[in-house]
Amino acid sequence: MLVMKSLAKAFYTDDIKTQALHPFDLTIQQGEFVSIIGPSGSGKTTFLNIAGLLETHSSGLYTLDGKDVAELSDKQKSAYRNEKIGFVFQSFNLIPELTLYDNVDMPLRYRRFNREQRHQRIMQALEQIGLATRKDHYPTQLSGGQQQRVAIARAIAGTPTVIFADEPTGNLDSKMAQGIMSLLKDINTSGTSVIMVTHDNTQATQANRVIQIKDGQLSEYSQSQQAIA
Amino acid sequence: MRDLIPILKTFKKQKMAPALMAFQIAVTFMVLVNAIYMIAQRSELIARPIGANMESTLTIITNLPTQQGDLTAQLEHDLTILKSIHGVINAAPITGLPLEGWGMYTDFKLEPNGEDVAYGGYFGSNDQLIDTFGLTLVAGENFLPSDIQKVENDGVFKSSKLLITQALAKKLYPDDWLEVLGKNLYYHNEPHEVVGIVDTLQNAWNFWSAIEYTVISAVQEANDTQRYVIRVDPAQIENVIAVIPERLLTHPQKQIESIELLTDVKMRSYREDLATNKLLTAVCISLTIITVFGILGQAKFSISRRTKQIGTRRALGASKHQVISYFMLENAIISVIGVFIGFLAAIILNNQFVELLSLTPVPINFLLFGAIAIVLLGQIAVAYPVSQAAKVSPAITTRGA
Repeated sequence: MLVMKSLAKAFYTDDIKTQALHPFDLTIQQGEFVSIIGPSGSGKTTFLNIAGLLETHSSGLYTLDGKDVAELSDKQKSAYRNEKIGFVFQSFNLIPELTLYDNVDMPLRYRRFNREQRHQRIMQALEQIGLATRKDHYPTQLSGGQQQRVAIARAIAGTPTVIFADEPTGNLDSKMAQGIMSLLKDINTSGTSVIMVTHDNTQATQANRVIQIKDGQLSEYSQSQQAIA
Repeated sequence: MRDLIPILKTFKKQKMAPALMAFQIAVTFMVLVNAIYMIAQRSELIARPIGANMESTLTIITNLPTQQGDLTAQLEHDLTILKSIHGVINAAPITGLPLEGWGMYTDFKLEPNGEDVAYGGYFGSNDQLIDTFGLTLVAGENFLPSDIQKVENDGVFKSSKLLITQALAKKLYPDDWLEVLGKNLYYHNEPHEVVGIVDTLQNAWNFWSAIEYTVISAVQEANDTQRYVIRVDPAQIENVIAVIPERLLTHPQKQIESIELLTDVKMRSYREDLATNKLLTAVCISLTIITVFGILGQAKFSISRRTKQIGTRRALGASKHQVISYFMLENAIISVIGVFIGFLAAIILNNQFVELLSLTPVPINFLLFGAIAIVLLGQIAVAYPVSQAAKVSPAITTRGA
C-alpha cells in the first residue's frame, strides 16, 4: 500500500541545509497498525506529513496504492487525501462553529456524495464512536476525549484506506487516551491501516509494528526493545 | 454551492463580524446608489443641448450709452463693427442669453381673452439669430428682414412675428404641433404670429421646468445694457476675443461687461451642480475605497484567524480552488445580505430625497445594477486575501499555526 524507497527530506533556510529525514526504505502493507516513535524534533511529524501528502519529499520514491505521489498535481493530492486518507490531529482541529454532524460532513462535501449518502456515512461514523445522539452539539460542549472521537469519526466517514494519527492522545488523560487507542484498534481491525505518531512508548507498543525515528534516521523498533519498553 | 449551508451555519454562531461587514456594505450601497443617481440626474440635465452651437458662439454684454444718442443706431453700429471683424461669421442682438440666469418670461394664450395655456422664456432678436446660433428650423420659415421691428426697450409688449421651440409647439398643440404655424400666440394682450419652429433653444433658467419653452420675437430691442451673440470661426476665437474691445470701445462711455463663449455661460450656469457632482463623486470614491479596504481587512482578519482551519480543510481534501470558492462565497453571502438591507434603506432614503429635494425616485434597474456592482466590488476586494488563504499549507495542521 505505502512504499518509500530512498526517501529523504531536507529543508533549506538561508542556504543552510537541514536534513530532516535521511534516505530510508519503508513498506507498510494494507491493514497494518504502525506506530512511529521518537523524541521531539526527530522527524516524526515530517514523516507523517510526507506520508499523508501534506508536504513533499526532497528525493526518493513514494508510492501510495501503487501511484507515484510525485506525479500527482496539488488537486490530485487533495483528492487523494480526501478519498484515501483520514487524519486525526493532536488538537482535534474541529471547527467550533459547526456541529458534530457538520464537522464529520465537511470532508464528505468535497466528494461527489449526495445528501443521503453523506447522511448515512455521518451517522454510521458517529454511531461507531458512540456520539450519534449528540450530533447537534458543538465541539466546545464536549470533553477532549469526545472531541478526538469526533475527529476520528470525521477521518473514517470517508472510508479511507489509511488513517494518519498525529499524537492522537497527546492532549488527553490516560483514561481517555486508552479509549481513543481502543477505537483506533477497532478501526484497524476492520481493515483500515493506521499509522500513528506518538512519543508514548506504551501506546506505541499497542501497534503491531513500531518504527523509531531518531535524528532523521528511520529504523524498525525490535521486539526486544518493545518488551523493555 | 456545497459550502452554502455550512457558511450559513457558521454565521449563526459567529454573528458579529459578518453583521458589521453587512452593515457597512448596506450603508455603502444606500449612499452610493443615491449619490450616483443624483450625479447621473445632474449630468443628464447639464448634458441637455442648449440648441445653439456652443463652441462657435461668443456672447458679448456691452452698453449703449444714452449720451451717445439713438440706441438703435448705436446697436446697428455695433453690429456692423462686429460683423467686420475677421473670423466673425454672423452677429445678432438678443435680449437675454440662454442659461444666463437673467431674462424675460411670459404666459401664453391661444385666444385673446382665453386661459393661459403655457409659459416660457422670451428672446427678442432679428432674422440673423437662427444663423448666428446655428439653430435648426424644423418647420415654417425664418423672419424676413421686413418683419423686424426696431425699438428701444420693452419690445416684449410689441405685436410681432414669432419663432418658437418645438417643445413649446408640442405643449400648445400636443396632437399636431405643426398646427401652431400661422396661429397667433397672445401675451401682454398682443397677438404674435408663429412663422417658424426651431428644434431647441433653452431660455434663461437651467432649473426651470419650462426651460425648453422659448419664443424668439422679431423685435430687435436696443437697451442700455445690450447683448450680442456672434458666430465665430472656431479657429479665430482667441483672435476675435482680443480684437472686439479694440474695435467696439469707440468712445469713453462704451463699456464691455463680458466676452465669453456660450460654453462658459453654460458652465457658470451649472457651476453649483458641477461642484455638487464633484463633491458627490469624491464621497462615492472615498466610500468605495473605505468599503473595499473594510472588506479586505475583514477578510484578512477572518482568514488569519482561521489559518489552521484552512489548513485542516486542505488536509481533509479541499483543493485550493475549493478554499477560494468557500471564502468568495462567504463574502458574496455577506455582500448580498448587506445589499438587501441597503436596498431597503436606499429606497427609504430616496423617498426622503424625493419629498424634501423634489428628486425623482431611483429607478429599480439602477438599484439592481448597484446591487450587482457592490457584490462584485466585494468579490474583487476579497480576491487577494482569499488567494493568500489558498496558499496555506495543509502541513500547518500538524505543525501548529
